Amino acid sequence: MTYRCEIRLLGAAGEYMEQATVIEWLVPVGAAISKDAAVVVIETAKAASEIAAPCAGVLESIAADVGREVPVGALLGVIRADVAPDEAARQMAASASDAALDMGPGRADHGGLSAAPALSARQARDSTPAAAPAPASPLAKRLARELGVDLVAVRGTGSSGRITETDVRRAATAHGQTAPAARAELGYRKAMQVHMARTRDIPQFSVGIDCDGTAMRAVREWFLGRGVRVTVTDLLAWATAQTLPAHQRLNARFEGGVLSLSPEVNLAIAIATDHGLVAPVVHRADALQLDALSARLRELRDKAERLRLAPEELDGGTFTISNLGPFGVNEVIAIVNPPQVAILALGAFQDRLFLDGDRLAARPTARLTLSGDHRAIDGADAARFLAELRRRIETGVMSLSI
Amino acid sequence: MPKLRYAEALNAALHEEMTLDPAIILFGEDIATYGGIFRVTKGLLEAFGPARVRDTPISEQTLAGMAVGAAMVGLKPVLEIMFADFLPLTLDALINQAAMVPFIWAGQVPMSLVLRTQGGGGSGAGAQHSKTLDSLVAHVPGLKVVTPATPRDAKGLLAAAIGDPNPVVFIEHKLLYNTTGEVPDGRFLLPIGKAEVVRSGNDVSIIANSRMVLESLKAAEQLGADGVSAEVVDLRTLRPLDHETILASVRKTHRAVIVHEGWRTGGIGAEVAALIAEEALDCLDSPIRRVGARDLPIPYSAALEAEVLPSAERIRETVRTLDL
Amino acid sequence: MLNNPSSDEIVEMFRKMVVVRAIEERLGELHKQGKTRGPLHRCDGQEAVGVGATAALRPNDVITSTHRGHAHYIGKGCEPYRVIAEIFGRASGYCRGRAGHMLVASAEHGLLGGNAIVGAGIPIAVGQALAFQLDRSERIALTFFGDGAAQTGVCHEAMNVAALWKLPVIFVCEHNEYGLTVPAAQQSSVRDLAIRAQGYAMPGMQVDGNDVVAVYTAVATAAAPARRGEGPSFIEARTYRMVGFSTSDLGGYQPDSEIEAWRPKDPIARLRAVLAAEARPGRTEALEAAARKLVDESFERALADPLPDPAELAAGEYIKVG
Repeated sequence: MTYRCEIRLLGAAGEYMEQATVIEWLVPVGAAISKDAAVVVIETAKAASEIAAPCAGVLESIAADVGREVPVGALLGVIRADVAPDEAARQMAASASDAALDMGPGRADHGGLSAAPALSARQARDSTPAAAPAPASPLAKRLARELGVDLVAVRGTGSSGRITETDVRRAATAHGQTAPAARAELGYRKAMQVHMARTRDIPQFSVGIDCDGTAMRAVREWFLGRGVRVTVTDLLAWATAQTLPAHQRLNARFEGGVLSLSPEVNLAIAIATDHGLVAPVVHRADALQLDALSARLRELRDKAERLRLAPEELDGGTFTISNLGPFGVNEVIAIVNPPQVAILALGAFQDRLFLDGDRLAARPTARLTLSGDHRAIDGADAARFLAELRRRIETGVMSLSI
Repeated sequence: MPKLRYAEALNAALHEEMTLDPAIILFGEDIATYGGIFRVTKGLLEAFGPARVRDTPISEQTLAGMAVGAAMVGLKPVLEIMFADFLPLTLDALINQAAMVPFIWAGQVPMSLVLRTQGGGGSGAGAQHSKTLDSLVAHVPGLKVVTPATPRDAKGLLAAAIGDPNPVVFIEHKLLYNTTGEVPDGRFLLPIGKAEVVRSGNDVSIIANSRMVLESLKAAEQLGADGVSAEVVDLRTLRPLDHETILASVRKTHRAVIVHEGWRTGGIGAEVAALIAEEALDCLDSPIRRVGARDLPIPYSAALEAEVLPSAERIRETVRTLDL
Repeated sequence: MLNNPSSDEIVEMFRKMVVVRAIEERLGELHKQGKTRGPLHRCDGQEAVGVGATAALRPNDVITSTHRGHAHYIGKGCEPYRVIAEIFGRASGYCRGRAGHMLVASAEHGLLGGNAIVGAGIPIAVGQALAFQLDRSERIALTFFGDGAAQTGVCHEAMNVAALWKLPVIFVCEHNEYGLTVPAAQQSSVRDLAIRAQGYAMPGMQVDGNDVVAVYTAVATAAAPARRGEGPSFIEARTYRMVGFSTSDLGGYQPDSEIEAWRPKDPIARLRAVLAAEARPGRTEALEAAARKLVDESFERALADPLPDPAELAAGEYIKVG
């Protein structure tokens, strides 16, 4: 009996997912696919992400070619399974081991793991068993990482089937027509390009406050003593999420002249990845205890690095935080992320001398800067928020669920 | 700009430097009255007299030791060793004495000697008169090893070598003596330890020294006609190697072929290849390749010698094995 | 006589020989205690050659030495403290601890320098002499080498060139009867090496190497014509090595009877007796005591000094091009 399933462009309805562009088909027509394996890469204004096969089988047809822009809900391709779903899974597992042996001379030359061990391991987990990467030149591997190209689906034209720079560039560009020297911006960087263009007309202001990190340090050590690693960003996120409910004007969206206050704190955290800057969202961050928030951030960071963020993880943010402390900078004046109305940035902690009564004492201090959309909030709103945030950070009261 | 033969350029350098500095003396076999078997020291006996320009007995080991002793007390001896194949006779003086003095004696005395020699095959001189032993001496800390490919480089680098307070092994090439090239008028010095990009290109870096630079340029012309843009880097100095220039070239072209007349195994190409792999791995789109003499003593018969020594054709073939 | 040492010079040679002997003996003790590093080549019994020959030179003359050079180093004026510091790898040594006992050099004293390659110092001295001929400075290069080194190719080549070009170099062959473990009779085709001087058209002398005055006189006799540009001389100084090749030497190849036959010829004992026979009794005891005390203090000071900082190595292999 022939059974078919459709690969469609699904996602949360919202302005950031009106349409997407098909970037790359990870398997060719006729290839075997297992259920939930990544089958096609699409790109929205925000980020590139992979769509998983809803069933196991063989890719029968492609409805949207590389380069096609499709609306949400559109049909991308069809998978045909000639057997019932569970039988298909059993067969896929069996053919996986066969495929690994039959890689041809190129693979044998490379002696197995020397090629791209990290990449191969990941692919072995996620994608079709028959597709393992051919050896790639060091330059090709580096370029593939930079451009977000999956080497699994790249055909190598070099000696011994080696994937070369040219092969990667060809795979990275939609029609292979880009001149070798040009570099198409992809993924996060492209999203940033598009998005920032929209911020030009926002009347933005900034308010800064220095905050003492002694209590934060103590909290981190307390957690470390229990084998839990909590970062400054985690603590900042938690403190922000706890403070925002009392400052609703900052936790709002401003669109078409209307300020909509949000009942939930959906905190976006700016993350610097090898592919560029991205700000995944922790929904209802105010409801999370510190360790749960820390774990969620760790998960989002990992997904961001591997280009695995789901659309709903990028949507619906009501406030953004950005910690550039690890880069050593003192002060950051971030740009508001519309339709949000405020963004908070943190610089690096440095020891500074203070008068403690009549003695000098050294304390770690960092600058918190809040940038706001002056159409929605004013300096006093910002200052009040910062003052309360600072108090929360400096008194070190952190609730725990351990 | 005037054109000089490579041998003339060397002669001019010696003449200019000896005029300026009375501490410079020349000695070696057949260099004074006869003017050297390749004419490099022609006219210098007449110009500077028999105290400073001396014919010697056949005693390479002692002559090299004498150069060391003279340098210790402030002279700048330029010793000619007729064939690089005789370098083994001088190795104790070079390696155990000259090379160690600056470092082991903590800089107490200068060691400003130049050992000039010539090597290379292609003239049917046989196995004991055709070798390239440049990487042998380039292995030794304390020595500098210079292998100029053009008349201009020969002149500027010899002048620099003579003035260098460290021992320099200056290796010329018998088939380069009669090549001509533009040489700037007047006295000039070129820096020891700096390579030069002698032909700019984008697809592959051909890194070579001495006569192989000329073969590489020939190969690059042919490759150009085939649509491959080859960059040619003349190493000029083998010790110390110019890491920056080598790596900058490979970072640009993403491919490297190293060409030298020394034997492939343990030739200077092995050192350059390791350097590239260590410092620029992620820039490589193809494995690094080396073209050297085949690992055989240099045979006499023309058919065999041509097969053993590298050539423009072999360079071109090797470039074509790369993923371009 | 013209080339004899003055009595002050004789006393000074005595003192230096005692200094050298004290250094060698102390090194032997420290070696037995496991406190030395690397092989050491003692010159006990041969002090008169190095001390006597260098005493006949001027301060601006230069010498090349061997692997057994402590008498040459001290004779040429090096401070015991800094020689010992170098032997023990201290930063205060003449070569900042880099050279060790066989390769010591001190440009200030014309010690250019110790050499662990047998015979290698010979052509170097000829090169130094070439420079002196050119600058007409009347300086001399003197090269010490053993009977073993006299068989090397470079020795013959060097003697040929030196005589051919009439270079101001003195060849001093310190004949101690052995080349490592092999006796001279099994290494040399002739018994008396001085005979080779004739073959290279230079004057040759053979002296009792354990008579410091005789050694002095021989070198002084050779130095004058060298300074006048009349060329090199060859001096064969017969002596004997009393404690084996090096501290790594297992011994046993020098027969006891042979060693004992040379003991009464000890250069220090002989000169001590001569000096004692002169006026001023007690003078030699005081001198010896002072010399040994100096050596003890030198060891104490040197051994307390620090080793060099490895950070120095960052300066690299070359002399900076000015």
